[in-house]
Amino acid sequence: MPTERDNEFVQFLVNNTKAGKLRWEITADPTKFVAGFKGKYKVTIDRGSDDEDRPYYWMTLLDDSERELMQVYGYHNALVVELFDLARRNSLNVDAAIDEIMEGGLDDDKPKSSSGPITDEDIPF
Amino acid sequence: MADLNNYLPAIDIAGAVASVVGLSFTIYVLIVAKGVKKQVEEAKALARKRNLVEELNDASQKLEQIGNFLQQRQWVGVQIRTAEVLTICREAMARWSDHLSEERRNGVSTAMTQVQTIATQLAEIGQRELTPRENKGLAAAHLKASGHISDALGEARRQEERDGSNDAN
Repeated sequence: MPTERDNEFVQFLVNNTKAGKLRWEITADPTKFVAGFKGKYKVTIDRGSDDEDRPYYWMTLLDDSERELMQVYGYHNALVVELFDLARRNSLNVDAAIDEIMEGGLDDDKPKSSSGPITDEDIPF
Repeated sequence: MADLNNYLPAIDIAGAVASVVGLSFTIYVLIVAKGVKKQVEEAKALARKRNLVEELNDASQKLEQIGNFLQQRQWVGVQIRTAEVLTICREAMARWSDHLSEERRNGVSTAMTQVQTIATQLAEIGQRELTPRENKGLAAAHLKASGHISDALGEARRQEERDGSNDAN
């Protein structure tokens, strides 16, 4: 069971990820993301699936010797599940991509393809 | 006896001069010794940084080889090199982490996890063929890890060059 302090730490990670202060990175495992802190700690967030293919999540804090300092599971703290999704979005720059697409808007004036039948005006000669 | 009394002030003066000369010499020797000690310490620090550069360079080269092994689907080669990179990074961080900025240390630590997951993913995949998604994941993690190690190497080299030019001045 996580302690009060452990849960505070998960909340800290969620808040800082939302604020864009924490940079998560991808790993070779698509269900694992990593972020480094203070030059000597790192946090990993993982998603696994049980025998019945139901997903479960866990967050691990490690020191510079790769020693596991603490672990919090999603079924003990629902914020861990939220953190996984935030970390995934952060590492893949999902929000930046959405912002870029939405800020530029779409070229509504120029239809990409004509849907109506071809008329004489469409032919330039 | 009277003759000796005549010589006493001269002996006193000579003694005082000798003391002053002796003290000056001692101070001079101390200053020189301190300078030598400082130079030795600087040389040691430089040697330590050279080693950090060498270690990170070694890790960087091995990561390059991992890239080649991944392309050639030589999983045994990948497994061997990933273990080596992890050992190099762990040792380098244990010995010289104070010579890198916090950002670069975070980078090396992140790269270690990325390299580790390359090995664990390959172990999970076993002998079967990689899916395009798995392939892409391995390549992306490899590129990210290489980038972090290159950044750290760059910073260590810059630091070494700065120290080198300071010594020349």
